[in-house]
Amino acid sequence: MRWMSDTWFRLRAIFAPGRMEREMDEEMAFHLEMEARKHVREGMTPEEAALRAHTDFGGVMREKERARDAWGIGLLQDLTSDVRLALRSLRRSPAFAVVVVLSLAVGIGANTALFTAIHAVWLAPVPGVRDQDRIVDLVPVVRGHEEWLWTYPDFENVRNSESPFESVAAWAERDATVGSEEGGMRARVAYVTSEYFQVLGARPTVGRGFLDSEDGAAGQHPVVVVSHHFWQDRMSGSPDVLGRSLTLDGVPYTVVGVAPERFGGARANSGRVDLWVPLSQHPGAAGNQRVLGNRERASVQVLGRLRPGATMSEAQAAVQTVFARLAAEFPQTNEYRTAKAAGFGRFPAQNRMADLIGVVGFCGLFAALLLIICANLAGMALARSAARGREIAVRLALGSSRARLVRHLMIEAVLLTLVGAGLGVVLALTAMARVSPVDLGIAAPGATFEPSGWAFALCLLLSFAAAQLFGLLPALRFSRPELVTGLKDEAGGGGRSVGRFQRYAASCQTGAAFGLLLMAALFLRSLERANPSRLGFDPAGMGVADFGAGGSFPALLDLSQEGYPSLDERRAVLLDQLLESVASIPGVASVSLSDGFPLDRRRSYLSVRAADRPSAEATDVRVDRTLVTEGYFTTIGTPVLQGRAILRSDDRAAPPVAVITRSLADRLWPGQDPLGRQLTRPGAEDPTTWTVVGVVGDVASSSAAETLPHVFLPLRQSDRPDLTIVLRSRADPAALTGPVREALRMVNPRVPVPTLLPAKSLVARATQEQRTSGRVSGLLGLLVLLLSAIGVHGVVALVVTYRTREIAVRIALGATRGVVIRGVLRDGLRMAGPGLLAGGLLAAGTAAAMRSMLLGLSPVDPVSFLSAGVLLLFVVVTSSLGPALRASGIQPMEALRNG
Amino acid sequence: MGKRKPEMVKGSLDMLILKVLSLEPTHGWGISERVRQISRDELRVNQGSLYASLHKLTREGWIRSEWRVTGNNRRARYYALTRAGKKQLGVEQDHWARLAAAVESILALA
Repeated sequence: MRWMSDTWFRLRAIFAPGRMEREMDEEMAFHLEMEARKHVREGMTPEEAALRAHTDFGGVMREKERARDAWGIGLLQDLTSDVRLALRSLRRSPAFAVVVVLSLAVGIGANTALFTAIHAVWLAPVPGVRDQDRIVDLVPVVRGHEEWLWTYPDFENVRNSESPFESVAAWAERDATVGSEEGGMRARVAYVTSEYFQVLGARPTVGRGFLDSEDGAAGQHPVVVVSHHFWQDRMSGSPDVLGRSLTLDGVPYTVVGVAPERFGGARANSGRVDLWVPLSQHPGAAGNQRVLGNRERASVQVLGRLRPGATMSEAQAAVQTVFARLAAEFPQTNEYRTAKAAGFGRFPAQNRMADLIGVVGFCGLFAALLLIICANLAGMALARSAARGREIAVRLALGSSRARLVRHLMIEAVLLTLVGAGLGVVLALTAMARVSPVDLGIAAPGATFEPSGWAFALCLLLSFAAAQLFGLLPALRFSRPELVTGLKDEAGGGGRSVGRFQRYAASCQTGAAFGLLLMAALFLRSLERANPSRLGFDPAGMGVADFGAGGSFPALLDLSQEGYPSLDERRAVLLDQLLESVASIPGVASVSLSDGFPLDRRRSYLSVRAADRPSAEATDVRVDRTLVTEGYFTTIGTPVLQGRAILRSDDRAAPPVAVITRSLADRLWPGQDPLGRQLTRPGAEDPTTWTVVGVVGDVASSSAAETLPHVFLPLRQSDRPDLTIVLRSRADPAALTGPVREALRMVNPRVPVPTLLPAKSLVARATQEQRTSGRVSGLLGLLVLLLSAIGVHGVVALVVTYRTREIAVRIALGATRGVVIRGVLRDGLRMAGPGLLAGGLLAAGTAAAMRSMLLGLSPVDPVSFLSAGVLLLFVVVTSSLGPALRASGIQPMEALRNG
Repeated sequence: MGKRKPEMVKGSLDMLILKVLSLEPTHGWGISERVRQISRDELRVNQGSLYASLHKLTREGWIRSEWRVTGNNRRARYYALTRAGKKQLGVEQDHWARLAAAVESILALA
């Protein structure tokens, strides 16, 4: 009770001195007035009365001074002298101060960097979007699985029914060719309904958005809204942009608006949209039987904007009501379909849980680092205050209050923390200014790390907590009198109980260092697995054409947009011409056309089953599907194990054939010859069956982490319009960009020009996560290793100091140097032991949870464990060696005399 | 100088303030007036010590204050006893009684 009112008083005296002063003046004035009134009542004149009152009071100013002393404003003076004292005592131990400041700089700097990164890619609002909290991501759910796309009719049903939404918008994104004088260029185009800009709160700043009427008849509304960056970069930001013409896939469009600056579409983290056109312009909008208007083909993503006051659960209930009705009305398509409402953010709702786990994991790691640093520093501060025992005892004896002493130690801690935190923040921001989230593979182009107030606030909080952690513990020890008296016979104090806290701290650190090093070792080892023999293809010399604008993954060429809409003779001729002209480039060893390539992040799935089994027995296998022409396996360097590859003759006149991977063959026909067997798709919509003509080795699929069973079908037998060029070169494939462009121009000058990407860069991109994680945990591990070396050294040295007498007695009794050294080392190892065990278990657990990132490496990989363990033991032994040697050099006579 | 008014015994002012406030909450001037009235003008509170003492008691958490409007519409800071203050008053009274008895017994000897 007392301390509360007291603290309150002091705080007011420090933070609101003006107010206290005013209140005091008022109180005095009141007193004088009442006194004067009394005198007047007793018959004085008002003047006399006032004078008398003043005299009685004895000088208002003097009384105010006296009262002010009672406020305890002297605290402020105490504080300055404490700070001065702290600075002086720190100057006397510069090594301690430097280690503390640097450790805290590392800990707080690392955390600031992490917060900034998390904020930039996870928490920051989607750029250019207003009132984000009212936007709802509507996630389609099919048979309990969250999917990405809605069918357009479902969207229309939801849009047209009663709901808590102000408006609902649908859109589809694809790459398209934008025509200009110097040739085609691929751009990211969002095909949107008229409500799109309203839902996202991103009305065009110049011109207009789309009108309701532009949702109408397919292909009748060639209008385009350009993004701010497209306007600046490709149209030189000219003010008379409205009304200008752009060709999109060969069709002229009129520019009607410019989107707000920074606005790059709804999916900020997966790619920036360059252009927006009405959804009615989508290639799938034409001929009502195509994508839109079809309840079987999911094609659009859907967002809604809530009415003010409406809630997410109302939205979800409303949408699910519509879906329940549709399920009854269209059982064959909608029976298992529904949708759920999720908050809109930088990450699409579908991935959020996995992302969250990753973020929380990293936060935990960094927070652990800071905790370890604090434990380390607390240990050091304790050891230091133990060494200052005499000084402190003297100060106590001279009447320094215990509270004052604690305050002094706390002020030291706060000073060091402030300097350390400042340094850490500066370091972190300098470092973050040099990297971009795009380099780290955690965000789409256009994202930057911006320092946020949020990160600063957290940083401040952390610093405060750190100061408490490492300042308060040692300080509190001295507020316990029995410990202070214990200081008197410190030299006689014995063995194990010494520095119990430091021992725990050092043990925790070694554990954490072990855990982190282990993680690093696991990631680095898993990178080794990304070598050609494991990937199943040979990236050296292989190149893939990117027909896009250099986005986060290579874009495909869409033949239907280049005047080859169907699987006809003209398209077949084009394919031949493309293959021929590229193959004739000097340096090209082989070339193939395909709609994908190994490590392509876009994956096409297919469910297949063996056609020769009764359907009750047959199991559906979800496989990756790639359409390829002849020469594909030679080009990517995957061996044909059985049968043949896809050939030129596998065209639309020939029977459908398939080449499957080893693992798929083993799944479908274990122990049998797969050649000549039939594959089919479950669900009778498409009755095609393919005859298996060949088996190839397993190939890495969309990520380096897994090899899904894979089926390769002839490109010439499919009406899918997407394709890219895959080639194998005798030299650097990137150098072939020019010749390939030239070759394509010879075939068809209207085709957009590609850039050749070396397959090695695809591998690098696919293993980015492992490399980043390996680097981060390796760096953290080394830091913690250094810190724990300091910690272990400190504790062992402390123990040796405390045990000087005991060791001296032992030496006097005949213990050899070797025995003493072994004893001290054993002590150090015993201290590290529990930490090692815990750290190892923790790391193995984490690794098991992140198994998918290990590219098939076992989470308890013996090589990783052994190397991390040996490194750590080495560090523990070397850091205890110094004190051990010192112990062995103790001269018994001297030590016992001095003790 | 006339008849000397008794000096306030050191430390007794706090107790007097607590006692007065235990009757009813009032402002600083009210306290000094009440002490004067009850002691029949024998005790005069030095206004300066009064306010220093009030601040000290507030810091100790024995009294608390709030601004209120007086009967003739003036704003004044009113002080009131807290629970801790009530307890403290008991302690001080007890202490005082013992001190007074001790002093009395010594004086009785003379």
